[in-house]
Amino acid sequence: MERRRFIFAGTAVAFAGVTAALPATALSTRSAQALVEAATKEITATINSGRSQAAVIREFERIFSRYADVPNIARYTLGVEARSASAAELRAYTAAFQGYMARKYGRQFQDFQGGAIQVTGARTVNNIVEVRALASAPGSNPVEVLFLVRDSNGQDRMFNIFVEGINMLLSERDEILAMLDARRGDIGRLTRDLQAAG
Amino acid sequence: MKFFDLLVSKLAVVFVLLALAACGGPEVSSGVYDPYESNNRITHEANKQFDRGVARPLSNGYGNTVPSEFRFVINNFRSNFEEPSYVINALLQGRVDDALVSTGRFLINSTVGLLGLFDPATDFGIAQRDTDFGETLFVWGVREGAVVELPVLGPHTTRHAWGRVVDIGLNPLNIFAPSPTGELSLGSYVGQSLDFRYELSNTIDGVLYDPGDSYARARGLYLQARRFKLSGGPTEEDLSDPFADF
Repeated sequence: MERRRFIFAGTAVAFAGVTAALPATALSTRSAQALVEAATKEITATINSGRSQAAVIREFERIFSRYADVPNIARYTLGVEARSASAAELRAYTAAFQGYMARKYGRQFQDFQGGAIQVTGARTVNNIVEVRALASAPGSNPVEVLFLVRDSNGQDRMFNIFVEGINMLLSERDEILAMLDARRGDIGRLTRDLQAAG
Repeated sequence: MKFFDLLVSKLAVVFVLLALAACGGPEVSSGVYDPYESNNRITHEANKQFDRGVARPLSNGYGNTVPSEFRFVINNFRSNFEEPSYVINALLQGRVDDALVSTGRFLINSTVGLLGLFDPATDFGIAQRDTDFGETLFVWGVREGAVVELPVLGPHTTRHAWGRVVDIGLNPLNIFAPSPTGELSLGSYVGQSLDFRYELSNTIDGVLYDPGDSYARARGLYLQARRFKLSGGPTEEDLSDPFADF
């Protein structure tokens, strides 16, 4: 329903002659699933490439920045503190956060060597798309993974992942807010420390 | 006779727990109820000491010396003897289809899979439907309870912890203990646990030893995963746009 209305609205705008206002690609169940399939293919290829951990981390940072809505994710992890930060502070924090995530998860991905991710389905709920997948590593039971995709300025972008029910976005925010608390809300200090952490 | 007595005593436990069960349907909890936090934190530190001194080095030794094929065989053997508890719990939860699947897996893996050393059922596309008595209590409407950090096993809810006690008694290897099934039960459990610690070493190291509050981190991750398992999927809130008010 939601999507149909969106298409009608889009058609109306196009007839009005302002086609430039239309997003390049509208989020759909199918496009979100394709995004997740492309991302997971790149991730598993990287994990199983046999390259050094440093190379895997570099590659994962590239994949993360390409497929995930990093600016919004980074902003979310700061909670209400994001509102008092300047644009420059947010930019610096976002860059540090991206590198920190790549190092942290790049390291954990080592546990998934020999693994594969199979996308099993997708559905649209509340303007976002939930893409379901099964991640299987040799010798252990497959793990259910959910990828959540939303429209970010006309582009499909992942913004959250649930691994066996663990909400990565919430977990990272808890972690970051605790770090920020320990630094008395100093985002500049948090940014500097994140550059060294992970 | 001995087996019958044990069964009767186990059923008595079940009925006592049934009587304790609150009325009303199951409801997944939210928030953190941790009234024993200071004690839990002490146990958590002891668990980290145990991990650093015993579990981590032992699991690395196990993983580095025992080939994965052999470790998987031990895991399979252990998992297969958990299947009867899946059947009983699924029945107690009123999930007959899950009970049938677990029965089928137990029969296939115990015969074609050579006493469960192999897992042909999964290869045939019959995936495991694991459950536990903690989930049964949830279905019966028993509330989640408080967070309690168990020695070695880590954070649990009290409902989950009591469920584990009952599940010990639902494993045939434990029912027919002591010898030799008791040793097989304990040995395969230790093997499976060491393999888990080894296979997920980077992830577990991250949870326990990354900077920050490892107790709050482990507790948060546990509660999320446990509640997701009980609810069977994401909540409506999980599926809303978190950036809507930016």
